[in-house]
Amino acid sequence: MSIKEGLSHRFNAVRVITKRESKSTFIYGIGVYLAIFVSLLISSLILKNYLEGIKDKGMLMMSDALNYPLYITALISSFYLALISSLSISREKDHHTIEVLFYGPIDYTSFVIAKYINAVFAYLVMVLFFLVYFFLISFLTNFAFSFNFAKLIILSIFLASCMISFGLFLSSLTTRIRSSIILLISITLGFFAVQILYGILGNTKPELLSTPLLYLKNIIQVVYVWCIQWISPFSYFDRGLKAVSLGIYRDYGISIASSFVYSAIMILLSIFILKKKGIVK
Amino acid sequence: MIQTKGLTKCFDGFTAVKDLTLHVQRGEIYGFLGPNGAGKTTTILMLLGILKPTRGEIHLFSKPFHQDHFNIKRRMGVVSEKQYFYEEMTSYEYLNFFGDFYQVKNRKKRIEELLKWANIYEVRNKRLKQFSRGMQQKVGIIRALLHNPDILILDEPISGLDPMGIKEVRDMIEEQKQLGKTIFISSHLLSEVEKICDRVGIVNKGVLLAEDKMENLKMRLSKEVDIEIELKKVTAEIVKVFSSLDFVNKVTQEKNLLVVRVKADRDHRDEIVKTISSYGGAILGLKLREMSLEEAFVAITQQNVSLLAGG
Repeated sequence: MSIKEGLSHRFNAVRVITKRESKSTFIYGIGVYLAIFVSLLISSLILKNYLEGIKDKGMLMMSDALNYPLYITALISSFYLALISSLSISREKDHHTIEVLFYGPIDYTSFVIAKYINAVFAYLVMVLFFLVYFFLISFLTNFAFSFNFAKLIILSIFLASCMISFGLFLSSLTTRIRSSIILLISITLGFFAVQILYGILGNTKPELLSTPLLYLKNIIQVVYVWCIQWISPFSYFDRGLKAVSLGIYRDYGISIASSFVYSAIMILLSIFILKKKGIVK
Repeated sequence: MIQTKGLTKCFDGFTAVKDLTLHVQRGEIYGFLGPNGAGKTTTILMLLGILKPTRGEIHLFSKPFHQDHFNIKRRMGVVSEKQYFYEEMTSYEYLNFFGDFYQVKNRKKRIEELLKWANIYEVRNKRLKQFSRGMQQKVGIIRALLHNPDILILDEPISGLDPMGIKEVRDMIEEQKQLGKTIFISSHLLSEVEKICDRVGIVNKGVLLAEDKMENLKMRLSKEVDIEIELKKVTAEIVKVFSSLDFVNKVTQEKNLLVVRVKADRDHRDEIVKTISSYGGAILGLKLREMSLEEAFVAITQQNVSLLAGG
């Protein structure tokens, strides 16, 4: 079989599965609409808070007022996509539908890539909803659309990509839907816990910390610097966000590039694990 | 069409399939039989590339499987014991998805043809989760036939079906054989396999114990064969003569029916006919009382002794 022929088979498998998955996401499922609704609802609450502040104090000391609501929107919707990605492979294993697919002309690479493309496509559709929403908000409130907002939108696509590939990676490790959900939630909470502790302890003067807390600070620092900041998909977005707010183009570019590399590594790992573990429960 | 050589699969120290060498010829129906846990499904999953063999080779269409798995899989259709669906789909949507997956030409027409052939055209827009077991099996069979494969692999295709469903699947298998397809069927419903298979392979504890045409297998297993001879009149002289023959072990008489138990070392029917004729007997009928596949299967798997050449 030539390379061209192999690619053509893979392309067909990716195309057909992505089509089915998209139909399942947008036509048969309501999850995506719920995620859009929840993320926009929380954004609305934040914006309402801003407006009340303006009402009370007569002004709002903030550049790019739409950025933080967008950040929250992106975070919630990306987490939803990580969740459905983490279920996507394990669900097919759990329901044995993956076996039926693998009776046919498909391989692990096309299977994982199809899942990834579907979820990224879902995020792009979500972004359209967000743009309409923020355009309306801007129109109603006079909060301006800034260039930073556009940069953040682009960055959020890479955050979604990291979250999706991370979800797929977790999904390749498990064969049951429940285990996937538990794994994703516990790891995400773990990341947040370390990140929050890192922030709190890092900002506290050493003389105010007791000896055990100093040890904990050192441990958390090592864990964060050597592990979490590379493994956690959120940290890529945080670095990008920092670069956007400081206006450092180089860091912004690095953040996008590293998100891309992270996604690629996670996808490759998912394919490798799936190959290694097989698809039979 | 299907060839395996020394196929072995081990799971954490347990050998599910051991040194399996099979050869399924073009256009034949091959019955792959064995008790539960014999290694049938493991073998099938290896043939489909879903499980990686620990050792051994698989050739399909005379090509090593791994060399051209995309094209090989395009020429294979698989029906598993249980059907696994995307349950939110209707049967038409499900078949359309697989038609697209296998790049079936004139997809819509082909799906409609097969739905009509299986008598489920009327329910094509019904969700699959609402289908009965028999109807689900039919959808699975249509999925397997959609791309007109050359090899059909059927893993317990009639298990759990009602008699009507079993007959429909049997008819389908025979129809596919008429079309020249090679059919590899794994089953434990031996009476059904006996009706349709050209050759069988019997596997137990991962080892292939016997592989032959059905009649040869039965012959090789039997040490004695009963021959029923219907005579116009059974005389005491005939009974006496038969009792004295060296290849006859037992003679019983039921009215004008003589049952002669002979050694299964060779075919003795000719000698029997000549003996009766020489004593003036008139034969109305002669029948070999055959061992059923079930009896052969039990004999092979209980003894767990290889009947293969060199085994």
